[in-house]
Amino acid sequence: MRVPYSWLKSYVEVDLQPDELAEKLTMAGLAVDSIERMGADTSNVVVGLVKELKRHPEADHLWVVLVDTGEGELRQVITGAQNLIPGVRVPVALPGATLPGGEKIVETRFRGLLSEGMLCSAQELGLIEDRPEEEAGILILEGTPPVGADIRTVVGLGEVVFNLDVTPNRPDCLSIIGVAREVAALTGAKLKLPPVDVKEYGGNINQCLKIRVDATDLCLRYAARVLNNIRVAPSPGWLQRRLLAAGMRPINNIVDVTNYVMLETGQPLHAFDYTRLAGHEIIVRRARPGENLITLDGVERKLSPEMLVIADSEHPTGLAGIMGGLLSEITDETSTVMLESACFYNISIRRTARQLGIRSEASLRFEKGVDPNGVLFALERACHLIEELGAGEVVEGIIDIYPNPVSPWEVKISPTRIRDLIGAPVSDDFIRSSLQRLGLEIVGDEEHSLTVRVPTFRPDLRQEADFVEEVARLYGFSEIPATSMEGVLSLGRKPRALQIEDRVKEILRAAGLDEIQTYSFVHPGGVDKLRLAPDDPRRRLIRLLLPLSEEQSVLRTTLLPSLLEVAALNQRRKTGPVNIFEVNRVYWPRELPLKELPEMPRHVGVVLAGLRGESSWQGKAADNDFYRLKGILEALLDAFQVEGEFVATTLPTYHPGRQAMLSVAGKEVATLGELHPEVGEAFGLSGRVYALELNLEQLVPQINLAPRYRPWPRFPGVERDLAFLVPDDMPAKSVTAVLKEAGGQVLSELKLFDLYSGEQIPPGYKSLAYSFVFRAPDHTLTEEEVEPVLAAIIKAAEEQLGARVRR
Amino acid sequence: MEEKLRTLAQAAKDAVQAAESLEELDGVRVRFLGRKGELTQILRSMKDLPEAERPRLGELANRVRDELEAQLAERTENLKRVLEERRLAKERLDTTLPGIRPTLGHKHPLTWVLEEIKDIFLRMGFDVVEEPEVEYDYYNFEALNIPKDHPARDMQDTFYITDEILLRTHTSPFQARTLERMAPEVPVRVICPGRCYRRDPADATHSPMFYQTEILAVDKNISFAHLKWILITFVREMFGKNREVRFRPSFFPFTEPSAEVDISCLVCGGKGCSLCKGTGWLEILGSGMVHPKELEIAGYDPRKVSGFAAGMGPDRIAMLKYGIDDIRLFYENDLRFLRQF
Ligand SMILES: [Zn+2]
Repeated sequence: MRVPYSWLKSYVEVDLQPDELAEKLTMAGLAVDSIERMGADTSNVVVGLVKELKRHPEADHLWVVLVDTGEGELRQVITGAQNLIPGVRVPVALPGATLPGGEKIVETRFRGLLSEGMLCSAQELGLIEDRPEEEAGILILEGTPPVGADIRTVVGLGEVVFNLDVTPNRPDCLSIIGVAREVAALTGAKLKLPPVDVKEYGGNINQCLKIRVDATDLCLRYAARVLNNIRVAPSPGWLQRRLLAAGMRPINNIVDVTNYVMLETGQPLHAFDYTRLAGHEIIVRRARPGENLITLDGVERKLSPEMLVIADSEHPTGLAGIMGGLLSEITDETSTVMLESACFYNISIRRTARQLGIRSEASLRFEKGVDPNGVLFALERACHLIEELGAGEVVEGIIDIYPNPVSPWEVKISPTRIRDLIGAPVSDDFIRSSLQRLGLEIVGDEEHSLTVRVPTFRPDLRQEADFVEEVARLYGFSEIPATSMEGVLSLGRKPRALQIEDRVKEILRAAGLDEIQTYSFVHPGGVDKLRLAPDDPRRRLIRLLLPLSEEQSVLRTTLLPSLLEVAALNQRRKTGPVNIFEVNRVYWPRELPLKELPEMPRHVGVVLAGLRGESSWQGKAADNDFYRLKGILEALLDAFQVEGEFVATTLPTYHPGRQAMLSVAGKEVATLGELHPEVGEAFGLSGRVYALELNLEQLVPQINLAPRYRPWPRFPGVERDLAFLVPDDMPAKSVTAVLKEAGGQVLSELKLFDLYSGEQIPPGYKSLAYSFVFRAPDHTLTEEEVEPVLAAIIKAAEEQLGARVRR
Repeated sequence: MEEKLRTLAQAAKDAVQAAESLEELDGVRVRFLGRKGELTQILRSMKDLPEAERPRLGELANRVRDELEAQLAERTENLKRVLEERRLAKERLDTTLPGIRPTLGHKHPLTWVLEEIKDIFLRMGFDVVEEPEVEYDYYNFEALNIPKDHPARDMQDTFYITDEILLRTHTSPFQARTLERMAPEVPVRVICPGRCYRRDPADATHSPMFYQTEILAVDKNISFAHLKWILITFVREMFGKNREVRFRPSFFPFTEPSAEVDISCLVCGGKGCSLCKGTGWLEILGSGMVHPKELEIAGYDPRKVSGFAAGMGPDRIAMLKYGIDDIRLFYENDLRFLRQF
């Protein structure tokens, strides 16, 4: 909401500096987003008189304009605007001029012809906001401002305008008077309302106009006046300047008055050309199926039966509260006007405006809520102004249909409770005077309570809590002390799952992985790229009803596609080694379509591509491989003291010979492997890529967050190394199992330290070298004790594994 | 004999001083003190001396040996030191070469900020809770005093999945869920962090997914003055002791009174700059006293207990704290960005 300071001052006597007033308003809840000093950065723009106008010989849409800027010679200016005629006065930006926003004007050639300056629209002068959908005509200056005069003295540049951010609970402040009322409450100054007296020139409205409200549920009140002897003309300068300063384009005196009064009072008005109303009748009704309406902006709108229209006896002639129809528009020929002031149901207006994609100053106010008891004040104010401008004469009588009047309501409040909730020593007297300054009436003043009558323009004041806010903001939020909490000491706790999540992230970072954060919604094609089987449960995706794009249309059931996309992006951008992880939720529907909330387990995803880390001048970092990926998972298990088992799998996402799943306590908690090359290709990845996904939720119950100390052995062990020659395809796990079994109690450590195949190893075989540590809990083992165990191990390896021992 | 001993002593002393390496020195030791060493032989020939001279010459010979051993030991020490110094003098590294850094993983900037926020409130006695991101319309709106047909419930702004189920647009449903779970117990002190979703196409300042962190306290006699204390304490812990804080009346459907909390600008300190659009202030938190209707819906008696709530955007806080001008950087995950944190 734009509030020109000089306009505001017409209703409330206030002589604060703009900055001071802005501070006061902001701290009272009417946030001033910015203070604009109009045209402060405009220079070298002067009044020019259009002398001659001809088409550009090379371009139909351009005009070559000769304009007198008081410099003796005429200037040649090229423009694309289509609203000029010889004799009008317009703003001319001379070469060297600066426009709002810092744009500098220089001489330019358009299709071969030199333009010695630029003719300006109201937008270009910063008078109104740029609206791309509106055709930007040149600003035609009203009256006969002297040719060559500085434009700032002519169009009211220099005005101070407050840009207010009005919260949705204060529709009353979408008007200058509403803001003035607030200023009065804050400063103690008196509010002066503008005159609304109307002189009636005879006749009888009921004889020339019939109004019927059919849709009483959507139209709370409908009032109208008729004005005769209308003389449509440009508005006087003061009115144009105020409209421009408030951000509206002047059109003609009748339309300008309706806009002016809307800005002044917050009540949207609409003027109809009376002679265009078929049957001289107004019917407020829902649109009929198949009805159309061409609105003021020239667009033909398809109407539907939930939309409220203002119709004459034949057709809709306006979209109630949103935009008038082109047919009944005020034109230069208009001689009689019907002026509408009404209150429509806000939700219906919002829906219709959304549906048709229209957002007007009127609809905006109706959407937020208009005071039905302010309808007549605005109507009378508009009639008063039209008469004051000498633009028309009011026919006797008002039609006012208001079947269910809204009355002010009363709220009982307790000053003690207000004081307690604020937490400051606010006196009863302060509370009383605050209410009065806000224009509220205290109708009951008892020992422990006040009864307040709330005028209908403050729909936000319904219960005591609302009054706590009113008193607190007038008292000043900054005056309220900051008081430390009292009462029972409480201990802040973090749930176990979150503690575990934090720990997981810490371990993964310590392993050299970077944490990423990706969107929870993804492209549905991700599961195809992963080559998931048709019956894979992760293909059961939850779809958003109205996604922003297909890329963000389903909730993810796996973290992998997001991680792989990030890996690919970083490979493309060559950002270095890609070793990344994410800990976030996935979304598994219990049934589709959803009837209850889905399962949302926390997952951990890891992707490794390329090198394990940064290389250095001492050497290149090693390549990632399956065992690093597995090692990261093993490190996690170790940290949480969880026992798990890795089992080979045949999942389509991974390389058929390089994948496994981790099972803990009989449940599958993770899958891991080298990515299938087709998957890598589908995500645009190069090289071998390794990925794992862990369901942390499954692991949480198994996790031990408080380790227990276990003393280490007191007697030294006897160390022995043995290498076994076994067939290539024998899993290391089987070898280890046999060795452990044979080693029995005294085998206290068994560790693979070398895997070798190649020279000296027969084809089809591999050599696994283990180091054994033998130990007894109560004495140092002797050679004699160890030898038989070693022999037993070798025997078992030979007999059960067919292994050959290399000593 | 005596003369011979003295000459030998002198010769040994000279030899010790002349030795330039440990090997040479060892040669000297062998030459004089070895099994066939010159001094050893003299000591061995003592028994052939006349009885009368034996004690005196024996003592002399022993003294010569002791002195020689002491000289050898001292020279060994000296030589070792000199040789060590020589070795060290040769072992020079170019210490301006870069070090070999361990590869450390990086914490996402949003995680940094989320953890810091949680930590501050944990220390003030708030429990961390998590609530569902896929949420019922009821908890996201209805229970928060946002009735049907409220503009905030528009399809255009909210990701609906069905008529009744949506992606939460704020963490606020946790208020309703927590109060429902706790009522009529007091005190309630909880903080809820998490992902939220709004139908805003991504640009430099909007993201269809973002984080929110919200706190809630309900107890007997809680006032706006307590809200101020908690939030000022938080802001100064998060942004520094000297941060100015101001509370500005505002509007949220589920608090009354409502306050927007601004902090003095992190760049200009309050003088006005492009970050704060010349105002000197940055909006950082929304807050207010829990609406009595919300307490009532959950089963509390709003005449007996009161509470406050506040919500903040970790994305925005991270942007301000780290000087990031585009929210999309958080979710794009360019490693050149992530490795800066
Ligand atoms: Zn600043």
